[in-house]
Amino acid sequence: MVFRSYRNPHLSILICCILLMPVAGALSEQLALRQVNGDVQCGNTCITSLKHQDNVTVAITPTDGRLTIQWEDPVGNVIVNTLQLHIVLSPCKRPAVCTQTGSYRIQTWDGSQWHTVTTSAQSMTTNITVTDDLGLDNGYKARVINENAPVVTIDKFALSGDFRRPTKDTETFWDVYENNRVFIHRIGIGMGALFGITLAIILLRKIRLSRSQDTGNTQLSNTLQRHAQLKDEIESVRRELNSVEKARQDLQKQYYRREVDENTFKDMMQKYEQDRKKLQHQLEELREEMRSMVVE
Amino acid sequence: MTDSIQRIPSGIPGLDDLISGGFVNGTINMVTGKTGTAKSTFCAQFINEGAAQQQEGTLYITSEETRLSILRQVNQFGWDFASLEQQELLQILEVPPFEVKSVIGKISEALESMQVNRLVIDSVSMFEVSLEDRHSIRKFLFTLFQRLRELGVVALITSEIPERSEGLSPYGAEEFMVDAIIKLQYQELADIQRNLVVRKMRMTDHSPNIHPFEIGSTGIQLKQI
Repeated sequence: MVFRSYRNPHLSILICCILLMPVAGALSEQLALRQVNGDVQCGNTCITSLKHQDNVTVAITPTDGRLTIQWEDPVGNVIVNTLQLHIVLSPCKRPAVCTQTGSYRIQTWDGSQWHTVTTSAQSMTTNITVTDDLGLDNGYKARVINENAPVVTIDKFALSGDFRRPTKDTETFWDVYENNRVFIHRIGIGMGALFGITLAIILLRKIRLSRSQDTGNTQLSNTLQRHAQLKDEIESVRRELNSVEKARQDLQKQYYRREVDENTFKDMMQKYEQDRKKLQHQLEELREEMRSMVVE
Repeated sequence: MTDSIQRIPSGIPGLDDLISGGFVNGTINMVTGKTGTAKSTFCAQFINEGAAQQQEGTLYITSEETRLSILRQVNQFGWDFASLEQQELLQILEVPPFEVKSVIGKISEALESMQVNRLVIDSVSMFEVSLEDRHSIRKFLFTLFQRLRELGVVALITSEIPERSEGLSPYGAEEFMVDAIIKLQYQELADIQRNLVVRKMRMTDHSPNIHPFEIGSTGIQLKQI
């Protein structure tokens, strides 16, 4: 198979496409993650932190040009708990970030207003009381504000506390994330498959074209072979005709020299004449076939 | 054998080589063949050779055609018989077949009026038709040929071989009386369809072969075998 594909570049492409499909799936998963975290400017580090918080449902969205950390309570479940939000701002890795000077504030949203809970330069921690009375519609929110910077860059954040894991019929962030991930993953696989199928179709068409060309080549080869065969046949018939013609000439000479009597002469001349006509007809047919081949 | 014999050229290219140089002087030569074998052309070419080339006196007796018809026919080969007549090198004599008994007399008159070396009678077969029986035919021919021999001319007479006949003449008479027989044949299976055979020629070592010939723009021409 490999050997054959090595000989057939189209087949090689097809095999490569099939092998690349899982890679395309994996890439699509990364794409899904990026889709979920697309609005988060802290990258995967945040997600890593969040993944360790099994019972937390968090969404992170930019709001008003500032980073808002938002978590929603599980629908239909009573959660009374105190959570601790810990935010670590991005270390000074880039000059642009380093220029974000000034005070930072963490604010929490209780469902009706923002509450400033703490201020710090690089790392901030605050306790948030979560009840089921609040945030069904708006959710619980927290945000980091720097008055001098339009966007605050967070290196990582974590929520901790004793709160209940949501029930299975509750759509959590991670459900949404997982659904989205699976959905996008499937889309990715589908796109990969579609890509592969498209390539396969193109490839098959090329193979068919190639086979068609092969068929054409075969036909051409057959035509050339027939042409050569015709040439030989024409030459053969021509030789035979020349032979008959020479025999006719010789017979006439014999007749003129009275080496054959008239009846023999007539019989043989009639036979030669028949042979000559037959061969001439044969020759004409062969030449006609050759002419038609040249025209084609 | 041929050294002491005087001959005249036939005027047929290629023929003289087959008959040791030409027709023997004072002989009666018969050209025979079926219809369409070019007997008349042969005779006209023989006359043209004598009159136009050799400046000899010639007599052309026709029992089949008119003088004008002959003039017209030979003109296609470039032979101007009318001019030869004016130069008194040729005399064309029309003798109807039914005037067979006056033929010899008319020939004698003509020969007395001019010096003739060559004579053509085309054809004796037509005179034979007017005769009553085979004996009369033989008698007529014998008398005619005797007269011609006395005159010392080279005579060329034509005889018509009927279709499907294997003989040399219609009544099988003249071939025994003439000195030479040239048979013209038509062989449709051959590439060159006309040919001639010298069947007999006294005092001549002639070719025994069949010789194809063609009629071109200058008359009969024999082809090499």
